[in-house]
Amino acid sequence: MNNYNELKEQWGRRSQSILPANGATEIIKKGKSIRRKQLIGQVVLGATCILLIGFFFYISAYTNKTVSIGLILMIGSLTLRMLVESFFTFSIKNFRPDETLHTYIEKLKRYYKSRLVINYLVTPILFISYIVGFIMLLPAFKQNLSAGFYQYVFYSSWVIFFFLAVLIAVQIRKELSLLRELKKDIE
Amino acid sequence: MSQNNQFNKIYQDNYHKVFGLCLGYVSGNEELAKELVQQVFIKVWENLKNFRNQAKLSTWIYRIAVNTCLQELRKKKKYSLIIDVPDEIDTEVFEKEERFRAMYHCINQLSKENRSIILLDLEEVSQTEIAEIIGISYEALRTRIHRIKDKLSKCVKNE
Repeated sequence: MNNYNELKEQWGRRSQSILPANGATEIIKKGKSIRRKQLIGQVVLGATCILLIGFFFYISAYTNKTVSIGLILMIGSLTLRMLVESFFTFSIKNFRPDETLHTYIEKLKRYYKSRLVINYLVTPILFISYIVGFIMLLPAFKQNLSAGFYQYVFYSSWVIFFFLAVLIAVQIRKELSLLRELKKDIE
Repeated sequence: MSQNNQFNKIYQDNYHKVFGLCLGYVSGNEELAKELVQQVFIKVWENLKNFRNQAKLSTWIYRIAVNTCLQELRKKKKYSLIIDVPDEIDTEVFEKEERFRAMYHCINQLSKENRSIILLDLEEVSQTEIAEIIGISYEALRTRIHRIKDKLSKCVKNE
């Protein structure tokens, strides 16, 4: 093992780091700013949900059955998606980083496996519900919007749906590869 | 001692150790290592209230450092080795850099778990502490370290 001891000795001779002046103060500032941002994120999410529900009552959507169901589907799937996403963001941020490497990686694996269930099952169902809701609203759009604007809403929405589908697929691929990598992390 | 003062002391006492470990994960790329160290200490600050003296403070910090470095590297994926090359090439300096390059290259060939084990060993962390950081028994660790050392020595020799 002489070889390794030489390597170790050599390793000890690497250039020394310089302790940054005010480094700890800067870290505390950053930590506090991260906490503030998390709080703002939660407030924004709550406000969005309230706004969407408020909009539903503001336009008295409940008076027309089709419009009502369509809007509920769209608002419901969007709200659920946001809630699921924020739950996952919240749960990964709350992973204890002071666990042993083995426990930490096992937790990450479980996390990404449950994300796959969401991505393969929940997200497609919510996505389809959103599109169904949009289709149900089309007659109301046609009735209330000018022909030109209706055409714009109609075609641009399909383009948006297409890009959303691509985005979801890319996300699934990325998380699948992360999961594969995690499996290789520990022997 | 207030939490900020306690953190200040922890930061000063452990900065160099954490930097050395992070530097190993990013093949000597100092800029990236600094970013990683910052992430590590943000987590130390955030989790200080969870530290209950069940483990040594250094073990606790190394656990955070290992988990954070690996998690950040999964996000970054690609990074390159940056070593300053002087204008006038000194043979001794050149050889030293080549040896580091070979070492980093060989360490990168290891699985993330083995890489963590050997980087901690290179940083002179005791084997009992490494076992507590990784979460395997001391006996298992000893066998593992022996295998990794062997593999690493052979790899560097062949580089």
